[in-house]
Amino acid sequence: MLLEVRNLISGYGKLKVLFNVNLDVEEKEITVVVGPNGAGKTTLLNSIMGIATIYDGAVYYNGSKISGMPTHKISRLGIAYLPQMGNVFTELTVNENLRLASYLLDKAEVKDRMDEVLSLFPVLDKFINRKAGTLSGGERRMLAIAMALMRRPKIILLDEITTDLAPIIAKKVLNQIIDLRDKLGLTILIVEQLAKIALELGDQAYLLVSGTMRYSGKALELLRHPDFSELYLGIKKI
Amino acid sequence: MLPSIAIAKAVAYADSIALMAAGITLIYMCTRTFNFAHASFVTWGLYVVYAMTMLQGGSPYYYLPLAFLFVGVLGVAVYMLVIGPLMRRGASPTTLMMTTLGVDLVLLSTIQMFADFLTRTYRLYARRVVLEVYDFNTLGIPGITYVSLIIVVVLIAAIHWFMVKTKFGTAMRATIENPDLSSVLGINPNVVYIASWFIGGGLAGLGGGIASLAISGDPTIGSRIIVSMFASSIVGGLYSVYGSVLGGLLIGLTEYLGIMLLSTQLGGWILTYRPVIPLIAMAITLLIYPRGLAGINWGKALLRIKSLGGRTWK
Repeated sequence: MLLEVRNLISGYGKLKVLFNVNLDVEEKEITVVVGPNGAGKTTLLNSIMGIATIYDGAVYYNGSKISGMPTHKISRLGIAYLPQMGNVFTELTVNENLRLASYLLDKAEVKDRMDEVLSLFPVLDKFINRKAGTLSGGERRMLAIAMALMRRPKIILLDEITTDLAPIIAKKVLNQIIDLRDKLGLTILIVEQLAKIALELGDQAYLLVSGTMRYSGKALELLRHPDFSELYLGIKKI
Repeated sequence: MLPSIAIAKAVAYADSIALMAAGITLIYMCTRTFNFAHASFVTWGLYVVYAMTMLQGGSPYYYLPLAFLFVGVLGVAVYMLVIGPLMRRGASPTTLMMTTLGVDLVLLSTIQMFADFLTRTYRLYARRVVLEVYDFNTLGIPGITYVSLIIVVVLIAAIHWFMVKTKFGTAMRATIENPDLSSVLGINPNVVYIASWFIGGGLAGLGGGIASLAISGDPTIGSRIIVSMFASSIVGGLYSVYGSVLGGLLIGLTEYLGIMLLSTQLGGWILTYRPVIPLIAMAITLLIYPRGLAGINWGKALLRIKSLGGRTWK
């Protein structure tokens, strides 16, 4: 198991958002966490990354406990995170954003990685000296993914990657993620509100409602569950 | 008309205020802390140059780098012992600002003690610092006018180069914009905050050192000019170091020359009201254009002025 979340109770300040949450992410698989708005999906990723406050429980990466570590140290272990909002530096150019994503690498390595990443997202090459704030929503999302890939992470955590994107672009971005898993052997943890699209591409799935896990199992099984809508809305429990 | 010596001294004073304001802005941008302890930082810079000139001899200019280093380290100490721990506990910007007021009082006491120490141990009249006599003169203009101007230009160019061309500078700009995303990318924001307090403190120390050659000082000099520093930072735009330098030059010159002009017209009694000038500038900026000089779209503004010039009035 690459990433494990055990009996996690977490939140912000005095507000508890997640209650006894458990999650397993297998290597080279796409794990999807779906749930309605306000279920605590972003808090789950923020807890893994050390941004939210953990009151109880723990997070393990490759068997070692990472909960309690500062965010920058968690990131250096090979965990990349794409937050839903503010996932690029709008005041910096595309070039600066990509270079910053490889902050800890030496110059020669940065050049190699940059070429590699730009070959995956050739559209970014055209805007290399433009400020990221001037890019469209889809282009920004691509830049954010490219930034995550610059460090060749072992696992990427994606928070609502399709938000604000037109359905065609959203599908394109998600297909690109499957390609990345296949090409680079990445492990991916996606948190998504667009349950149908996300479950279609996932291997394992979790359903998070009101801060508690209501389902864990195969993604397609959850999608085909006869009471999926009720489960999703928290009206029914398994 | 004002004598050229007064204009020359006003330029040196404005340069020192510009450096102090740049420090305030940098610290605010990085750690959201409106640092009132800047008053004592500046005074410590002045006293480092004074004490070293008196005790070691030589030109006061030799000790300007030391003033930068000493107060830079003092800034780091304030961050690590007080501000950093509070930030980690989620203190609000108001709490941080009020805390720096307390820090300022503590530092002010240490300056008072240091001045007394200099008086008792070395028989120096440390409660009134005048270093103008140690300055050189070229073409009837004090050396500090030339040197301070060169320092401001070189330092701002160096800061620009550092922020745009170096990896750490880019990381600093990124952390200012989004500290959470920076840490997600593996950057330790704490290192960026420490650097900002070092550079910000250093700029205050250097400003204080320059002020020691431009105006007469005492242990409370920082508290008296803190209004000018904050006014410069606000007039320049709180989110731009370059704007704060521009604001500093504007406030420093207006305050120094304005009060001189007023006193020749209205009498010496007006000199007491000198801090009112930066206060008015600050109030006008906050009322009319809170984003300050750096927030103005100069291209658009110039076009507007041009279009006004081309208009024919009936």
